[in-house]
Amino acid sequence: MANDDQQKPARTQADKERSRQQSRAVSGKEAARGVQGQPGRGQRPPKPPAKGAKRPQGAQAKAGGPGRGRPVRPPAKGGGRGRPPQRSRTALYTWGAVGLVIVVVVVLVVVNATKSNNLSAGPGASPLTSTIAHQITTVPESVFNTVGVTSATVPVNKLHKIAGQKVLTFDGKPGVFYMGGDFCPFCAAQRWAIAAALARFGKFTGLETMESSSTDTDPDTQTITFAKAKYTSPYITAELIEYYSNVPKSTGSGYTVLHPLTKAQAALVTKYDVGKYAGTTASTTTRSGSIPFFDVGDQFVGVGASYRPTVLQGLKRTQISGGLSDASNPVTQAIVAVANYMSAAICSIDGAQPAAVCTGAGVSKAAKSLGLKL
Amino acid sequence: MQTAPPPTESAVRPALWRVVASSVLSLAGLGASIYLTIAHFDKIPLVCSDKGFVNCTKVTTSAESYFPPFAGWPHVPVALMGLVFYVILVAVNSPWAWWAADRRVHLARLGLLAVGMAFALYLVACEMVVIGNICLWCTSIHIVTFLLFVLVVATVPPMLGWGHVAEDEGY
Repeated sequence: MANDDQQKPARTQADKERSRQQSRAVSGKEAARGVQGQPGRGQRPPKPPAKGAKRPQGAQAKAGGPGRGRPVRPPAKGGGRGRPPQRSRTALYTWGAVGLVIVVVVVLVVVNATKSNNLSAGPGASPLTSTIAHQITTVPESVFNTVGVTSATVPVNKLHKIAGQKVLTFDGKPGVFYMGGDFCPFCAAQRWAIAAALARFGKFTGLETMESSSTDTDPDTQTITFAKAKYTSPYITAELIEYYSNVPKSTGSGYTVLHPLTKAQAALVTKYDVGKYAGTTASTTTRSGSIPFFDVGDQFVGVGASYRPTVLQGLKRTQISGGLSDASNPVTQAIVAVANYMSAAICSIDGAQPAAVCTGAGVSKAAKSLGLKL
Repeated sequence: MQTAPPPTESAVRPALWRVVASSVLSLAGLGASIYLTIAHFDKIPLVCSDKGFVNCTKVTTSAESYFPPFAGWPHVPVALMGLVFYVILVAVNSPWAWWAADRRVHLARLGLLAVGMAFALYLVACEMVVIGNICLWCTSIHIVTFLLFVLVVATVPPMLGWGHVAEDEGY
């Protein structure tokens, strides 16, 4: 150990050196080693100053570094074996942090790849932002009334009236039934209108984001999903079923079932989800069991989308929802016109409640078009 | 006789290339952040693929484009958070900030990049695990953040004199 007499000149030299170091750049090698003056691999470390003495940064390398005349600590008894060479802690922290980041990213990539290989799934659903949820479920009455059933640039289909049927009920209330699928682009279009219409009669919770399949027609159409949605209304009961997921079957044909139908629901589909009720504008599919399928109390049904999802192509979800307050927006006109038809149909089975909705100008126009007197 | 402050109270100047690199990277990140923020508020469309794994629209319109990504919570657009982050980074990675004698500037830089890198990892996790797609512009910002992180964690601790072996630990 150095005594005080030996320390004094060493500190003086170190102070001078430190002063030089104040304006000397940290080089790449030094940074990699961590601290100026720290011994490199294979070098013997310099002797530390006596306990209590200030350690001058950077001074050791020049003033006392190995091979430069500075005395080094003699080997420990036993040849110093068992003591690791001194390494820069900074380098350890630096490259440890970088390595941790890289490991996390690699794990995430592997998780993603594994998920894709296993499922080849479409995007996962996530809760709607409060802004989007609010825009969809609170379309201004003025927009409903201004649009009515007029969609100047985007053709829309009315619902088909079914004569001679008793009103469908769920749990004692007039029933509304929807069947769709997360992958389905036509359902993607239809859900905007269904949500806007049903929100006039009750409340949604659990609406989530969704988009149609990227490999189907009208790919990646931005929409919402009812897969985890709950709907409550004092007037009606709605059963909103996403029958198909957006996860392709392992056979490569079709999509896995997300929410199986009850027997009663399956009976509805068998009876009413048939070609003769299919629209002519949006979907060319007329076979039984088509999606989307929308049944308002067995009095009105819609098979297929009521407007073409093509008009939603390239639009963000925020653009579609944000536009719902603009009656001059062509996409809004299509969504709102369809929603007015649905609203009028619902008003015809729930005793025309609430009056504020069922006597509105937009709903009245739709009711007139459907041959209803509310 | 010239005297210098003890190393614990001031910092060593970094190499010039590190200063320049961090400034350039910060400006690049700022530029991309501005673009994403403008796009978020629907002023201009994002120039990016909307099909397949790279799908900027899907990512930038997802619930995760807000933080926290929960409906009903007060939340902030992630793009806006990125913009604010890079405005601050441009300041703390300017040559004047790098040459500042005040240790707090360098500590702030280190802390900012640590938090920024952690948040970037959270966003990557959202893209990879929740959304299932990535956004090229977001990824470019994540890469810039990572490069800045590497640069700063390799530069700032030595400047501050960290990493010395404690004297009583010896060797």
